[in-house]
Amino acid sequence: MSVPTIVLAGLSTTAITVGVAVAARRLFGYAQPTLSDSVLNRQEQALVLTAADAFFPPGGPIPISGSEAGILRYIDGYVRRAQRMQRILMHLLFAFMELSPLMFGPRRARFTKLNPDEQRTFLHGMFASQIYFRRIAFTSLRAMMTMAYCANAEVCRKMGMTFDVDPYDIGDAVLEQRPEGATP
Amino acid sequence: MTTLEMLPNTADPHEGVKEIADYQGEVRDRCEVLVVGSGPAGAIVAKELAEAGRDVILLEEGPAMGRKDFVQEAGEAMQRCFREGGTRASRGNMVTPTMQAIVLGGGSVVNSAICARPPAWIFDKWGERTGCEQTTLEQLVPHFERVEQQLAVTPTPEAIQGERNMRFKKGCDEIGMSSEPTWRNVRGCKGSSECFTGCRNGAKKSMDVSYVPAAIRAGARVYTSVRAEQVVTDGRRATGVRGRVIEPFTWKPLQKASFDAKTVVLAAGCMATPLILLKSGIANSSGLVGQDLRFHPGLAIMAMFPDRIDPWKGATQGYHSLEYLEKGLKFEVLWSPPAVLATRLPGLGHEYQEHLMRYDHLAPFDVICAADNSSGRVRPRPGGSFEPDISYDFDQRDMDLMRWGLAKLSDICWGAGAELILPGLHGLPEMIRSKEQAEIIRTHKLLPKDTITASNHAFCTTRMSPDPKRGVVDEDGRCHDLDNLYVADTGIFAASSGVNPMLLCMALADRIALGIAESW
Repeated sequence: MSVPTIVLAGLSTTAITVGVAVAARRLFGYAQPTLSDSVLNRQEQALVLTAADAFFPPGGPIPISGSEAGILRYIDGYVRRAQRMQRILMHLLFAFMELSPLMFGPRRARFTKLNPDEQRTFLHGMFASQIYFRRIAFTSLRAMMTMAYCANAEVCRKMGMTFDVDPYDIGDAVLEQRPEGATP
Repeated sequence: MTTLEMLPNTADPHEGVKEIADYQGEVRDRCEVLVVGSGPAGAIVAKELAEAGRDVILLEEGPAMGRKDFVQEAGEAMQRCFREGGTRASRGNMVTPTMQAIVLGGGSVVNSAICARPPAWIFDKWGERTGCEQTTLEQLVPHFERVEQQLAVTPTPEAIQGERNMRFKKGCDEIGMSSEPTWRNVRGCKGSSECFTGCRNGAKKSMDVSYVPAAIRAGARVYTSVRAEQVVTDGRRATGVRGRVIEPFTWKPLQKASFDAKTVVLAAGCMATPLILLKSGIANSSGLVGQDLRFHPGLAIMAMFPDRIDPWKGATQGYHSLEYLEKGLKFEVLWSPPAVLATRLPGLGHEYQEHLMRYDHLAPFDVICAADNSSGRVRPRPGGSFEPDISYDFDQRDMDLMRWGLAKLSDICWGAGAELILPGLHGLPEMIRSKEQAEIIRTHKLLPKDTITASNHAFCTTRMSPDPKRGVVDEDGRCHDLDNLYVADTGIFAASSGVNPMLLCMALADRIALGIAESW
């Protein structure tokens, strides 16, 4: 084998390898995970972060985006504390969310590869779907996202939400009072 | 009968309760009466039998949780206090979330403390259904009175109702529908709206701070973090229970636990008790163990008002209407952690955030249905799990009744002054802006899958009947197939309770306990 042939073969192999790697990254690649000690893998972390900002985009009436509110950290803790079966279901939910645009559109790409408008279209499609399972998946994900968003103290403050154990300033003395027993 | 002696609010109500740290190696003990489950049924049975001089052990799978252990964040609260982290749901013709507690005191720790007596006709229906003759309102009145007096059940005072509850009353008044304050087992409630995540004020007189301490004072031993898995029998007699120590919050099974007893009372709840029986292979000659599961399916409408409601203030469920109970519907004010209810808000992205910003103007009201035509079943999951496989089909006739109820609920919202309502139903507008537009609720065909229906009232999986072919237990709560095995939880209901089931469950448990004591 001549030297030019070897060089050509080497270049071809390199080009093919790079091409495959680029294609694989487009299809399967995800950025480095944000949380190093997470129970979520890098794909799931990317999905949660993307979904967090799709549900709670920056620049809204509550000026804290989903990612800024710490949704990823919350979901990681939530999954970590869950029992085995619930954990499995949550992982399946994330996989379904990430891959189902390939089937339902609006573009045949993973959820994390959709632009914000497409993500919104996709989520609305889930919410209004004629397929019950898709609606349930949407509700499940929104429940987790909303719990995570509302776990942020600043978000609660913006919403005017309080957790006051004594909202009417009744005081503790009333706890020791003994009302006369009565029957309805 | 007087009010239970309540400890000062600064005292530890769980003193004497055995916890996981107390267990070295296999846990073994013996007693006269072993009670499984420390919820509204089990705690009463344990206390009454201990006071009657019996040597009693009370088992609870969950840990004891004090006021400082309760957290308000919805996700963590549910993962700590509820089975399957609060995500338990039935399958069938729709997915129905259903929550059961796993904590000392059971459901009484996390419910809204509503104590309602069913009307007399409920028991007539029970009689028609399974032939019950000894279970009438008249016969249960002494037991209702005992429980109500011991827990000092009183109506929710107006001072702590808050706007959310008062708007419901206003809406009912406007449309000429009766309503009333709920009666609750609380003392000194401050209206913090935190019933669902555990009362940080210690005002709710849940079983763990009322009947359980009273049982301990009377000599009962209370083991928490112990799961009963199998009832051991010898012929027609139960001789004890085998199980496992369960690590709190991770729910990992640890070392074995075994308890020998002369009498066993199962009060593990209408999901867990049939599992124990089915896994033990006992008490099922009728074939009805785990069958005939009944729910009170519930649907909510959220009303948006032009002025502030601050729905997180006020009694959790301070008002309800019983006017259409005989029709099979009960109307109530609803509340749970705000984040859970927020899932129901419409819109996406910034629009969703706008609704969150208006949350302080919202009030959710709900309707629950007796659902006499719907049923399901509970059975063990494959693979040895101790969580139930729950199936439930919501009958279209009950769905149609619920639609009628939703339309009435909509009327209440408009009567209360709502500027728009959020029906949360698939196929209907996300927001309805007028009473005229809301007519669509009356006319639109609604299928179970169009709704997000939840039910935390569950019963009938070990139902009572004097006839061994029509029920699992007799009217004294004793299993037809065994001489000394009792069931005392809501599983023994012969049909719907119509109203919130806790008070009826407690009255039946009181009767069962007194019956065991008398026949000892």
